[in-house]
Amino acid sequence: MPSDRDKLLQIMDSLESDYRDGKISPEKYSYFRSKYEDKLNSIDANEATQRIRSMQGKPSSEKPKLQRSKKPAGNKRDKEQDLVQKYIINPKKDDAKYNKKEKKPMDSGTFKLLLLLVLVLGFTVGVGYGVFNLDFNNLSNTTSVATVTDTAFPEIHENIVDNTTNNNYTYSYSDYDYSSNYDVETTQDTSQDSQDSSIPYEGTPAEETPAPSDSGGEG
Amino acid sequence: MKNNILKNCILIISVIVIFMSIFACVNAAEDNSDLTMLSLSKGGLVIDYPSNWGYSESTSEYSIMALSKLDSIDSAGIGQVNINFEKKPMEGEFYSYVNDTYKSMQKDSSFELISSGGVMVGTMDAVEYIYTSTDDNGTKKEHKAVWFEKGGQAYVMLYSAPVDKFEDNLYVFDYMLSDIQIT
Repeated sequence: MPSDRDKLLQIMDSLESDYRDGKISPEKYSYFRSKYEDKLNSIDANEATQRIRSMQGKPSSEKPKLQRSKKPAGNKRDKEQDLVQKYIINPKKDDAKYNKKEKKPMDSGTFKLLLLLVLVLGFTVGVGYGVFNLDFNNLSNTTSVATVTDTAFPEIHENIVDNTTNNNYTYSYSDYDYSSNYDVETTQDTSQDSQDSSIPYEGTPAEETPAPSDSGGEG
Repeated sequence: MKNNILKNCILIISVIVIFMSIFACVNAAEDNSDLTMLSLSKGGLVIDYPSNWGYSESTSEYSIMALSKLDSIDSAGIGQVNINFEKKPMEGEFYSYVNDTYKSMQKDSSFELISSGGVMVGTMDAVEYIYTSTDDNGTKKEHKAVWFEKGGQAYVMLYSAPVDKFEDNLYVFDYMLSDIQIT
């Protein structure tokens, strides 16, 4: 009846052969190999402990071994089928630990911290760059400082040039007429005035004499 | 591992902060002149103008925006050296419309046309008229009007100044004209 150690050695042999045949990946192989080596080491350590205890005259506890050995051992074919089932067909079912992803060198806490730092850094750099580049003086003040009256669409007084000329001419003409009429009347008035005014205004020039009032006063 | 990451982050932040401080100092050193350029955007026009000019209110109903030179504003609040941006819905063909405007102006003795010709505003063809006008107070002003057409509207940028100050401030108008953005 093979002991646990022999069973483990058999399993390790079949693991070795499976690995050589390429039935299992190197990762699985290294994982299971280390696992079974650990078990083997523990069995060796247990046996060494038993030996020491027996040398010391202390009773050895073989119960677990006996219980384990009670397990019926199948033939080689059954074992191989078990191994195939265990390692090849459905390895997840048998060994959940194996399916766990290996721990990355950076754990999630560090990654979160790094991510937070990058975000804070990005935010700080963005805000800082914006503040440094923003020229507050360049923002124009749109409150008006003055009034502009100049325009490219001014009111055009089209008749100013012609009107001015015509008015001047008309004015001159009227003035001329008026003067002529005035001269005529003045002559008439003066003749009357000079005659009338010779009495009250001695030595007074004729053109300084107000003709109508004086002539009326006389009558 | 964690410590290394933190150290690296602190190092990166320090480097960035140092670079930004240097950049800010250089910018501050470059911008220490008294005269700065300001921006104004209104009615589809974006202009840059020097800080010794200010935004003004125009009496023209067609005005988009107007600027006055700050030291030319009189006690009544009227700007003497001004730039007025105006637009008016056009009647008929653009060149005929502009020519008619100045033909009618010539009938008014207070206006005197000095010169006219074609210019470019950005990539657009424009026409330029330089003329003088005399207001009711007898003040004679010289004007440079640059006209162009966009979207069925006649746009005109008018620079006006008393005759003795016209040439001194013309460069501001020419700069604005070369730098104007029409959206």
